[in-house]
Amino acid sequence: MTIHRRSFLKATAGYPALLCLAPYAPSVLVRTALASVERSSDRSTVLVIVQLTGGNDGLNTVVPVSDDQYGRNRHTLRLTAREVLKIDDDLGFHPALTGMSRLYNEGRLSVVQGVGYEANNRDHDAAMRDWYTACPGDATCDTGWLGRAIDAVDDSQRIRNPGVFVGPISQPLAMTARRSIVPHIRSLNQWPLAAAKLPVESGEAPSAEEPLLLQHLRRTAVAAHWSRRQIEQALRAVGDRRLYPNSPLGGQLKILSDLIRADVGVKIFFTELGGGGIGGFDNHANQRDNHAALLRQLSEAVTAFVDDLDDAGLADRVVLMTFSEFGRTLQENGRRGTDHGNAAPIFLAGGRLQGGLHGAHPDLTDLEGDSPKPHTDFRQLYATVLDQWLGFDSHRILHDNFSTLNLFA
Amino acid sequence: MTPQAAWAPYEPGPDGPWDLPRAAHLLRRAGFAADWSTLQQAIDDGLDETIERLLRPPGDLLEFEATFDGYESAAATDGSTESIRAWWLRRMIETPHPLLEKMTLFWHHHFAISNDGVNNARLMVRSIHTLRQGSLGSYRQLLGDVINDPALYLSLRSDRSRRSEPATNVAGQLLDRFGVGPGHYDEHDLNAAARALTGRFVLRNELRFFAHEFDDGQKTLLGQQGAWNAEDAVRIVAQHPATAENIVRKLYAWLVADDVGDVQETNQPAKQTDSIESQVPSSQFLEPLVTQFHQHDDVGVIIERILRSRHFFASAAYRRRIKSPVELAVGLARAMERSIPTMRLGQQLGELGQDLYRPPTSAGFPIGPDWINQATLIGRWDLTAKMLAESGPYEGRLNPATLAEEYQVDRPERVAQWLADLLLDGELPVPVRQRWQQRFTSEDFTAASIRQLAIELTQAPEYQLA
Repeated sequence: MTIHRRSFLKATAGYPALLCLAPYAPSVLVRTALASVERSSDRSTVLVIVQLTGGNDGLNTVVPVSDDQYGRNRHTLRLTAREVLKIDDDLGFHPALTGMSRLYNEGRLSVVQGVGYEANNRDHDAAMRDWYTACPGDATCDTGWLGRAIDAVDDSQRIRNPGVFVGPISQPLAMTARRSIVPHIRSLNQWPLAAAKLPVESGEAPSAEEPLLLQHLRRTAVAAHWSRRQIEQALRAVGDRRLYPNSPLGGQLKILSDLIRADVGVKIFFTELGGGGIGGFDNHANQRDNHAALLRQLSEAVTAFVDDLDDAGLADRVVLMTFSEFGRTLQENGRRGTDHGNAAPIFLAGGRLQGGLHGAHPDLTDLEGDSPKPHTDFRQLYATVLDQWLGFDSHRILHDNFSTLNLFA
Repeated sequence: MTPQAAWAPYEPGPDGPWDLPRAAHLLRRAGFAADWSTLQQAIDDGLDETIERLLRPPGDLLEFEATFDGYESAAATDGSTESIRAWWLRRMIETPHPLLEKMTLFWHHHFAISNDGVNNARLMVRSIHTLRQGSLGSYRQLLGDVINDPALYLSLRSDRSRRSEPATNVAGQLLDRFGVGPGHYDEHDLNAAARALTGRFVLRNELRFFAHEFDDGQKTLLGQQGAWNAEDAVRIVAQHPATAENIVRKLYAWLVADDVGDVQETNQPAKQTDSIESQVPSSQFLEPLVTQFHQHDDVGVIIERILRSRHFFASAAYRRRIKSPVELAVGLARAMERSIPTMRLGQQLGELGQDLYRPPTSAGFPIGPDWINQATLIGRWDLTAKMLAESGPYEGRLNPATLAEEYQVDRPERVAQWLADLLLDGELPVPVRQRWQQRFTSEDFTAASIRQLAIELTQAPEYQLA
C-alpha cells in the first residue's frame, strides 16, 4: 500500500498545490484521487465475458465421445475418441481447442456443463436478449445484467469506467445501464482515453466551497490524466510480451490485457467472437470447418490471454467466461449442420479457479426438442461471478436469488 | 426566501445586474449557447425582450421548419437513423428557434422512444415531429399524441394488447415516467391502465384499434371509476396533480439545476430544503409552478415563468447543470456561427452517451453528473478540440480567428478576453491566462494560436457546465 501511495505522489508531481491542500481542506478530489489509487492496489478482480454469437454447438465443443446417442445422430459431424483432446473416458475437447485443453490440464480452465434456461425459445434475438438482461421473456427489462452491475458501483469509482465493451459490433444490451455511459473500444489508438491529445493539467485545486459539479469535473479530470499515464506506461512495457494470434478475438483480448495491466479500474470487460448479427456459430449447414475455425480462434486467443496475464502476475485477478445464446440439436439436419438447441457448456479460464468439470454432461436420452436440457440456470453462473468474484450483491442486480456454484479456488 | 418569492420575476438591480453572465446563462438554458451578436443584443435589449424573442422568435419559422422536414423525410429511407440524426443536429445548429429544439430534445429524453425497437427512420422522424409540434403547449395533448404514436409501442416491444392478455409495458410507462411517477400508483392502477389500452395493435407500422379486443369493462384508475379507454386514461393521468409535479420536476432538472445528491461523497440522502440555494427542490419549493401547471396545463407558460424567475438568475441555477453532449457541440457551433458536418458529429455524440433517436433505456438519456466519467470527459475535450481544429472531421469550418476579425476584435489580449466572453461568460481561467500571457505580446500569436486558445477554453471544467 505504501509503495503504491508513493508511486501516486510521484505520478502526480504536477499537483503540489493540491496535495498541500489535503491536510486542512479535505477536498473530494484529493480524497477520491488517493482512494482510487489505494483501490487499485487491493488487487481487485476483473471479469471478462466472451460472447460466442450464433448458438455454439456444445456437443461438438465438449464432445461426449463414448455416448452412442451422440455417435448415432452425428453422421458427418461426429468427432471420435481418437480425434478429440481427451478429458476423460467419456468426454473430449474439440480438436481445435488445443490451447484450452492444455489450460484445462493445468487447472486454469473449467467447464460448466448443461447451462441454459428452460424458457429458451431458440430464437436468436429473443434468446440473446434473455442472456443479456437476465430477465427471460420480460420485455420491460431494458438494461443488461452487467450494465446494472456497473450502475451499482460507487460513484467515486464509477467515473473510472468500471465496465467497457471491446469489439467491432454494436454495443450489446448486456452492457446497457440506466445511468452509466459505457465506453465502446474498437481500437486503443482510436479510443480518446488512450489516444486523444490531452489538455495541460490545470493544477487548480478545487475547494470544498466549490459547487459539487465543478468538483466532480475536476476529480474526473485527475482520474483521466492518471489513467492516461497508466495506459501509456503499460503500452511502453510491451517489450517481452507474448504474441497474440492475428485474429479479431486475439486483437480484442490484447486490448483487454493492456487495460488490465494499466490497472485503470475496469472490472468488467465484454467482447465477442462470431461477428455479431446472427453470428458465425449459427451453422445450419456445412458446420464442420467453420465451427473448427471459430473454436481455434477462441482457443488460441484465450490461451494467449491467460498465459500473458500469468507472465504479468495478473492471472489470479482475472476470470474469463464464455457464453452463447443457446446450444444446438443433437441430430444433424441433413445439411451437415445442426439447428437451434438449448443447453451447452460454458468455459471459465483464469488463475484462481477450481479447474475441471462442473456438473454432469446432459443426458442424451432425455432431450427436449432434440436438444440437451439445461440442469444449471445461466443466472446461477451470473450470481456466482457477481457475488464470489466481483463482490457485488447479485440479488440487487439479478432481482432474485440464485444458488451459486463452487467455481473459485 | 419563500417559494413564491423565488418564482417571482427577477428584477435587474435588486436581484443582481442584467449582465453578460446572466444573458449568456439564459440563452444557454433556453437554447444552445448564443453567438456574439445575439448575446450583445440580449444584453442591450434586457430580459423582457430577450425572453419574448426566445419564445416567439421573429422571422419565417414555418419556412425553416418545412425545409428541414423535407430534408429529414428524404433522409429517412431506411431503418438506420444516421442520416436523420445528422439532419436533426443540423437543425439544432441552424434553427432560429433554439428553445423549440431544446424542448423537443427534452421530450425525446422524456418519452425515450428508441429506434432500437422501432427500426424505422420514417417512423422516428414522425415521432420527433410530433414532439416538436407539441413541445411548448398542452401536456395532455402531447401525451395523447404520443399514446397514439406507433413508435412508442414498437420501442417498448409491445405491438399487441389483447383483451385476454393486456400488455402492461405502455401502461407502465404512462403511469411511471409520463404520469404520476413511482409511489403514486399501484398494481391495480397499472392493470386498469393496461386494460384501457387493450385493442391496440401495431400492424405494418400503423397503430390500429380492434374493438373486439378492447376491454370495455369498468376500471378504477387513480381513484376514478369508469369504462375507460386510452383517451380517458391519458386524461386521468394528465390531470393528476402528481403528474404535474413529475413534469415540473423534470423541467426544473432540464432548465435550472441538476440533482447532484448523487455525487456528494457522503451517502446521506440529498437535503431537502426550501432555500433558494437548494439543488434538490422540495415539493413545497416547486409548489407555485406545480399549481400553475396543474391548473393551466401549458408547458410554454411554465417555461416562461421559470426563465423569468429570481431563482433562475440566482447562484443556485448558474452553472448548476452539466451540458449534455448535444448542448456542448451544438452550443459551440452556434457560438462560432457556422454549421459543421453532422454525420460524424452524430456518431461522436453517441459515443459520449447521447445517440439521438436511440436513448439507451426507457428512462431516457443519462442526465447530470452521469454524463461525466473519465472516458467521456476526455471524449468531450477531444470533440471540441476536433471541432475547432484547422482540419479533420469537422473540416476547420469553425474559425474563431475569422470570427474575431468579423467582430473587429484585433489585439491578442482583446481576442483572448473576447473568446472568454463568448465561451465562458467573461472568465478567462487563470491557468490559461498564465500559459498565454507571454504570447499575447509576441509576433507568433496567429490564427492557429486563436484556434488553440479557443480549444483550451472549451477544455476548462466550467465549459462543461451549462
